[in-house]
Amino acid sequence: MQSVALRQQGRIDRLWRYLAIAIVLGIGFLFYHEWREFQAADHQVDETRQLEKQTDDLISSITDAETSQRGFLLTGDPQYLEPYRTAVRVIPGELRNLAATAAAMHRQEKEVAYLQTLIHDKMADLKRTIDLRDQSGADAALALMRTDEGRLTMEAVRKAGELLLGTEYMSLHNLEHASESNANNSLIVVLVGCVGLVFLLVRMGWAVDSVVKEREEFAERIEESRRMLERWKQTFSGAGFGMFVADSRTGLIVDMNPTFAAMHGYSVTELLGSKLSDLVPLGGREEFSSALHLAGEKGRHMFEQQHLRRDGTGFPSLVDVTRLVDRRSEFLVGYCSDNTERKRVEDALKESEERFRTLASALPELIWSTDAEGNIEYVNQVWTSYAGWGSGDEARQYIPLRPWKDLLHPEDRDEYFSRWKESLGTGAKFEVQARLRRSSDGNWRWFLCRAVAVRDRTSQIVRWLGGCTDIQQQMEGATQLKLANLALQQSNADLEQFAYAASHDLQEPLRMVSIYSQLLKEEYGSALDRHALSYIDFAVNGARRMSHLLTGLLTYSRVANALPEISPRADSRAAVKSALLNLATFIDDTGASVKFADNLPLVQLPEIHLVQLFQNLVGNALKYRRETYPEGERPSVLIDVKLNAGGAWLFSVSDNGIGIEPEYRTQIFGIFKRLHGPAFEGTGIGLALCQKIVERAGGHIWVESEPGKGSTFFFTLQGVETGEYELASYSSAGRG
Amino acid sequence: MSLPLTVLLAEDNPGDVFLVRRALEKHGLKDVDLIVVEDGQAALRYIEHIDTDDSAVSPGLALVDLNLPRTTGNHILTRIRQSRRCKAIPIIIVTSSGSPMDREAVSQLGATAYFQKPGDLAGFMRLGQIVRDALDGPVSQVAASS
Repeated sequence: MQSVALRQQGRIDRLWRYLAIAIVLGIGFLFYHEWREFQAADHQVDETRQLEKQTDDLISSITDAETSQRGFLLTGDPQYLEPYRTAVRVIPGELRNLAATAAAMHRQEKEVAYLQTLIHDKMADLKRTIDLRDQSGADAALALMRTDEGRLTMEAVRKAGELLLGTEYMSLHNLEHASESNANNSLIVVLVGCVGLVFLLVRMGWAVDSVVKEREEFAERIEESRRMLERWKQTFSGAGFGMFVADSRTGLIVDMNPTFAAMHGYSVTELLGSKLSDLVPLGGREEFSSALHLAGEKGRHMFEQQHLRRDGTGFPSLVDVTRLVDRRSEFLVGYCSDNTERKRVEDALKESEERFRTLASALPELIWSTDAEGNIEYVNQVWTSYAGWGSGDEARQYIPLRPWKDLLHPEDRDEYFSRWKESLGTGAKFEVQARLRRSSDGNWRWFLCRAVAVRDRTSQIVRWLGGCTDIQQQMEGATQLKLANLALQQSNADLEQFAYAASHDLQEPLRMVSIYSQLLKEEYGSALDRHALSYIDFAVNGARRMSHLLTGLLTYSRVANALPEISPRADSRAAVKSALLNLATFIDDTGASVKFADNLPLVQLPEIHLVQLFQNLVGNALKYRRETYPEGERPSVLIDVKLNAGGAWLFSVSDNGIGIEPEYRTQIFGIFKRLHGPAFEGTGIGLALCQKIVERAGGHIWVESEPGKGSTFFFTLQGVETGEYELASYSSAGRG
Repeated sequence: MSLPLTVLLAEDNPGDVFLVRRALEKHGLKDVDLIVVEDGQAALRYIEHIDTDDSAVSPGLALVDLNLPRTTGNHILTRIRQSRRCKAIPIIIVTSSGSPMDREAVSQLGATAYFQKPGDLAGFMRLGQIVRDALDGPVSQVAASS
């Protein structure tokens, strides 16, 4: 649009210029014409003046001649004839001159010729009268004169002269008049021309102004372009990817940025002027050339290309080439990037994707994955066959718009969809139970559907990974389980009731038996004999033993029937410390040394059980100490732990006591089984309880022993994690 | 201490009532006016009576068994601590229960001391000393001696 306007403007400017030239030329022509007219008039005035003078001279000469004639005629004195003779001598010349002038003027020639004739006649008349005076005297001459012929001729001469001059003057006057009118016209034309010129000058002044303004704008635009070019140059040279410009005809590199040179292991100056194809391995050059050719044809072409570094190594690159046509030549401008890292990542990604798919297709679960927006990317074979879809493509139309629409039980759809929407929005783990229809038999089966967000390093969600597990059996079993649980809870409550009864109601009568037997002994002991007193002792001991058995039984049944905890954990170091604190009096009484390892770990069982376990084992170790120890020795117990081959913790409680015969090493764990008589107090429940505790926690317990030297009880427990523990020991001597 | 001392004993076992009296006597508390209630409701009624009748002699200490007919020891403990006249007296729980839960519960309800009835005579007699300590000393010492 603008260029059209500019072109029209140019045309108008040219028109104005031609108009100005035409006006100037017109004025010039007019001036020339006027000048020529003036010249002609001036010339004619000169000629007229000459003609006038010559005519005047001629008339004057002829008048002189007549005057001289008359004087002579009157006086007869030849002296008077002198002017006449002069006139006779001069007149022919004057006549010739006049004729020449008229001839030159191409005017008045007839009139001049008539005047000549008259003058010739006059002169002839004068001559005749003078001759007559000379020859015939004054009277004859006077008589002739009196005929008046001479006067008439003279009159005619004068008249002819006047006529001639009059005509000339008239012509001159006409000429001047015409010249004057021409001059007036010219003045008008010149004035109009001048006004036009002034207008044009102003107009052209504007034009010049606008041209100057345009030039300034143009210069500004050029400056802007220069700056832009500079910016582009900087961008070009600072770009993180390689850029090059090559001559499309020769394939030579004519410009590049430092990145391009550097990625090939060269400097810019080294690469300038070399062939672009030299940067490509020999085997790929033909393909490269055709790719460049294609770019030249299409205008732009993007392709992957193996590049060659100076050291001979190659790197994959994505090249984008654009054809650029300059006024004179054609260039290929391109950029390329070193894609080594990207390629590696892509390969790794592909491999990991492949691994995922292999894994997903091998799993019995329904596995799916979506992109960050919830659009299905993948479902495994189990999915498609469960749903009866031909392929994974059929699944893609569902999430997120219609969550497995036909597959989901109508009653479960709303919850499924709202949970899924919530997870998509918040990134929180998706978990819902829903019924999905099995295509093979049309049955609805309960599934636990879960999905987690997979995030990249910046914590952005890149996809969702989900799976659905068939929980139909669990759901079917759930009702039964609930009933069983209820029964179990009831039985536990009963047990608690029994436990309370055992610890309180059953203990009460025993306590009465025991205390009142003692009271009997205290108050009436002096009145009884030795036998009666020993009976009282039997009764008291029996009651006490019954009490211990009840306590042990209660503890055992509590352990055996304890409800499983969800994820029990106990610090075995703390448990050992609690156990030793409970045994403090016993340890002091026996003067024993009890040490434990510094790396006692966290294990999976309730802490109260772990305390009972250690308390029983350490208590046993001290109870079954030797009667005497060699000098420098004393009862000692060591609690140690190490990881076994199966990754579980292997605890050991070693003593230097009396040891256990091999045949009893299993028997000792039986309830109420005791190896020793009244010399060693005991209920026979301690080790049974230990076995129950360890086995409930999924471990094993056993004993290794050398009779007379000591025993080591081993048991295994699952660890939670390994912590750092400082070396610690607990002994009667070291106890503060 | 000012004499005579009135002690409330909530205990349904006559054998234990006898032993408590003996333990108190053994520790010099011979002039104690021991008011024995044999079930929980009777204990509550007694507290109610003390609170409504200002002329009634208020007990200086309470010994409460946990396992009582009709109302638990915990209930009695709570009632005494809400009582207008008796809320500040020492309360010693005397029970055969060794359950840590019971210990914790009565401690929360404001018991001064916890005495588990032992199976031997000498042990039971120590209750007399605990009562003396509860009457004399600050609560913390009493608690420690149990």
